[in-house]
Amino acid sequence: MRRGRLLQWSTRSLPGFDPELRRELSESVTEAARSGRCRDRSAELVGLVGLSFTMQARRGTGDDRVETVRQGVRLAALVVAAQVCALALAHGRLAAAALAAGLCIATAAGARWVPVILAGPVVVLVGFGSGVPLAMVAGLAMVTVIGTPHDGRRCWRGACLAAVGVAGLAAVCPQLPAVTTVAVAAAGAVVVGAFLLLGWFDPRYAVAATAISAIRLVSTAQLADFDVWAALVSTSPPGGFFVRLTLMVFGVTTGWLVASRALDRCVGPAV
Amino acid sequence: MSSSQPMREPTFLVLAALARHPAHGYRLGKEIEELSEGRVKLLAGTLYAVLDRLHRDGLVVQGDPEPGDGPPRRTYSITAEGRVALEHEVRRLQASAAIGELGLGWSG
Repeated sequence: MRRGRLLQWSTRSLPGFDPELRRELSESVTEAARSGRCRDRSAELVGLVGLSFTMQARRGTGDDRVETVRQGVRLAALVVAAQVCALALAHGRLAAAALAAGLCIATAAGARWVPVILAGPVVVLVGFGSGVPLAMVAGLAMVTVIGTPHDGRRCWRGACLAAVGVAGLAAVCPQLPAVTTVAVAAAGAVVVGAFLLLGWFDPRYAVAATAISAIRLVSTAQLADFDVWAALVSTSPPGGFFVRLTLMVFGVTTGWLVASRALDRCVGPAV
Repeated sequence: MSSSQPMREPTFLVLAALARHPAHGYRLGKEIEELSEGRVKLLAGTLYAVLDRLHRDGLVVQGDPEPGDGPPRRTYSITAEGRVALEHEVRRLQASAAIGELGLGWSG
């Protein structure tokens, strides 16, 4: 019964539905809510959440494929900015970290131009000598410039959440520099996984997952090291780098496939 | 919707049900369940996502609210373009079925 109530509450509260659709959905899920089968109710709930994401994507982008991609790319900028901020803090580069934090908060606030203006100084200050891979910072600048904010409106709640997150990073990362590097990679993988799931319904998340994975891939320092490649093809069984590389390539490829399918389904096929 | 791509089953069933007569979402879901003899039961999220996509592609239109018990409900109707897409898909399925029947020796 509790889950039945959850289903009814979802039809009333999930964003993205107009009042008429909300009423129709409420009527349609009533039967599932009444039925005793937990599996049916759970499936209906997942379907409703998916529909909510799809409708938000369609309304937020006006069914414009390019705009959908740009909003997804800006979402990637938010995640990568947080990662860059954490890495700069771990390396004790406070000015660089503050700049990355500003970029992160401005992006979360839905600002259109402030992150773009900050992108240049971020490349100069954070990209050189801060210990953060230059390719990662360059990738961050690129996705910031290409991207546009979600729904084109300010989000102060997002800015507050980002500020709290950055404050948390500032408290933890300088104390645990070694852990931070591993944690940034692990958190990135978790975020990419979660975005891929959401991306099935809202293509902006799949685009973001693809961009995050691609930036992670190109910023892998060992890619420029010939000896690592030589070891990669000669070592048997494959080492840790091979596994990480495979996972990153898998993330980019899967993200690309999910994003393409979700874009076709959600905003229509490319002309 | 590209006519070169096969339709997904929920899309096909929604168009097939609407080709019989206009219906509102809830009734459509029930009809599809009946037409498929209980085999296909579309989730509300799936059904309305399909309707929304078909409306965007111009294969269905939203009609006048249907009077009845309770509040008026938005009805959906198939368009001429939707009917053409449905006919195209039916022919494609018939052609595939004919190949299968030939393989099984059912075609006499």
